[in-house]
Amino acid sequence: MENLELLMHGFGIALSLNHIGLMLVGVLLGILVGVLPGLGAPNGVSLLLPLTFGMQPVSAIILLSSMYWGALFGGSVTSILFNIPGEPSSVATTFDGYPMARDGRPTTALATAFSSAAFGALVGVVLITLLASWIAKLALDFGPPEYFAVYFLAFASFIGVGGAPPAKTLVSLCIGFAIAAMGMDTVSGNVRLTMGVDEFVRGISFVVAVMGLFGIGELLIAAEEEIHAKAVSSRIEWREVFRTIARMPGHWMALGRSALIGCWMGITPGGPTAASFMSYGIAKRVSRRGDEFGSGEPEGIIAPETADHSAGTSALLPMLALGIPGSATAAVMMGGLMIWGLNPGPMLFVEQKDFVWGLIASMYLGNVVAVVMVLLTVPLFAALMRVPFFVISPLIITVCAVGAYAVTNSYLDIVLMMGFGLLGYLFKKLDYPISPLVLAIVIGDKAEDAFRQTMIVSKGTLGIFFSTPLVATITGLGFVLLALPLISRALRGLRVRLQSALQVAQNAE
Amino acid sequence: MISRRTLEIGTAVLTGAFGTAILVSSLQIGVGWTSRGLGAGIFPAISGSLIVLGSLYNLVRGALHQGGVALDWPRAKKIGAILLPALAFVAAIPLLGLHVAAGAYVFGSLVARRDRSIRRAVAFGIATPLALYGIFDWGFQVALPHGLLGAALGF
Repeated sequence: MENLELLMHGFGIALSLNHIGLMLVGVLLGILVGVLPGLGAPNGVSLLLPLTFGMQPVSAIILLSSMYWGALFGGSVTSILFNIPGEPSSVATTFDGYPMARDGRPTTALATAFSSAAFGALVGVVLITLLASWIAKLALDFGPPEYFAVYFLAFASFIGVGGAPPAKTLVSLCIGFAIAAMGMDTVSGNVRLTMGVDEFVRGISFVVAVMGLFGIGELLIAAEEEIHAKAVSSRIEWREVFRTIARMPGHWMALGRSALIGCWMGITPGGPTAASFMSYGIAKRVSRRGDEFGSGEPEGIIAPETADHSAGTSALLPMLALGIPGSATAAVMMGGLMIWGLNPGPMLFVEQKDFVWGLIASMYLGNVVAVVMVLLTVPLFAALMRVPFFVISPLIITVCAVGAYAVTNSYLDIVLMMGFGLLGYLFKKLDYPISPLVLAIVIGDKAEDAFRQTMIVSKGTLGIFFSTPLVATITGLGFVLLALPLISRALRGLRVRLQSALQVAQNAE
Repeated sequence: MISRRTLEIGTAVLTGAFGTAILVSSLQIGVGWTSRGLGAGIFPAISGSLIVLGSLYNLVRGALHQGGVALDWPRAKKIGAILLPALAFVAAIPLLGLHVAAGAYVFGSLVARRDRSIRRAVAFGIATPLALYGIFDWGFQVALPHGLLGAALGF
């Protein structure tokens, strides 16, 4: 009940003219970066970050989170109309969204996507409303060992359930840690790992890495694939929109299941991309019409879209309550929180009630704004997609360069950004996941601090991570997740062997 | 023509070299126990060694990879058409400043495609620096670099 009161208080903050205006701007910019190749939610949010330094934190977070919702929606527009995923997390939407649009039902495809996305986001926000303050209260009692155990759990879930090859995830993650460690050591004050470059003393900003890895890297991939924007009609028939929405409750199973998958993947930092693929895969397996998937099946759109958005939304839950972001974009926002002088984590719920509940209330409103705006602007953004790639790409690279420069006004950052861009291209091409790298840059220092404080408490023994039931459970869960790829491979091997044994037995009969 | 195998090996060598550099550098800082707890080098040393181990694994997996072509000549040309002008743009920033370099970059990219009218290229080339100035220098008070050219002109 207390939560409900606080939420109402939050609505009071979010429902000001100023904040609704910021939501509109944020959502529109978000759809823009979501539609443009190379630019996505992490870049967009990083780009806006330097511009929010003069704002109230609650206004700033409303702007940034609205941009996030906009980008999630924008990514689906291009997936459906052009068969070009604007965001990695909307790749799975192309499988059935584009065929449906191509068969002359673009409005149905878009409306299905948007309403399931809105449902997914709603489930995510409700989850945050109900659980966030409870988790934060729990986490107030956390000491350094518990914190490190939670960090460990987060990193382990990347490796275990992130979907990319585990060794590649490990390399990506640890490169992020190494970059986070560069510069001034917060505990001893030593300068470390600068490799002789004076400017590295203040470390490498995550914004620079995001601009390069996501922006330049994805642009190079897009250039190589040479996207041809052959759009189907982008006119919206409003009557069909409402008819589609009216049909949605019939898909309650798919909606509920996908939202659950999304929330789970968002809270454990599997991220929206992994969530949407997993949800699509499961829907295809369990649906009665599973064979029809890939030819424009509604549930083939519902499954990835719902999961994508519920993961994207619930990724903010661990960020707010524990200070651990659940996706790359959430990591960037958390970096913003720290720059604004807030300390992400349970203390937010005690000290910054206005901020937390203003944000949560704005999520309800922001998603409504996003659905309406995206429906209204589909034709506009579809037209933007017809601007040739060679016109868009220098503009995007310029914007990324400005974004990298604006963090600390350093030219070296632009050069570094290009370096990260090449790395991002290689990583994308070879299935190295990029989000863990960004996440590790943002929270690497905090994880290290937690570890070193724990070691001071325990006088250097690692046994402390199993000393109480709580910390032992979290650590143990982390190890289970780490071992998951090995376990599933062993199970698969066993099944194959069993099947072949059965075959032999049958043949013998 | 670059095979997937070559690319995998090259990337693994690259990440491995980075990991080694981190490892060596953090060993120099000290990984022992100090009066303030763990040495500043130990966490990066762990990261560095995990990078090296992971890279070795990826190297072996990559070397065993039976994949086909990762990057053929037509694709490389397409990437080069984006990447080389971008690198030239970044290299030109200290000299021309970000505004002028961006304008020249956009102008050049449009002119390079002959199917575009030159008038439009000129318009984009002039509009880009003006827009950058308007949005960032003026609107958000982020002073973008003016370069040697800007300094010579007295900005």
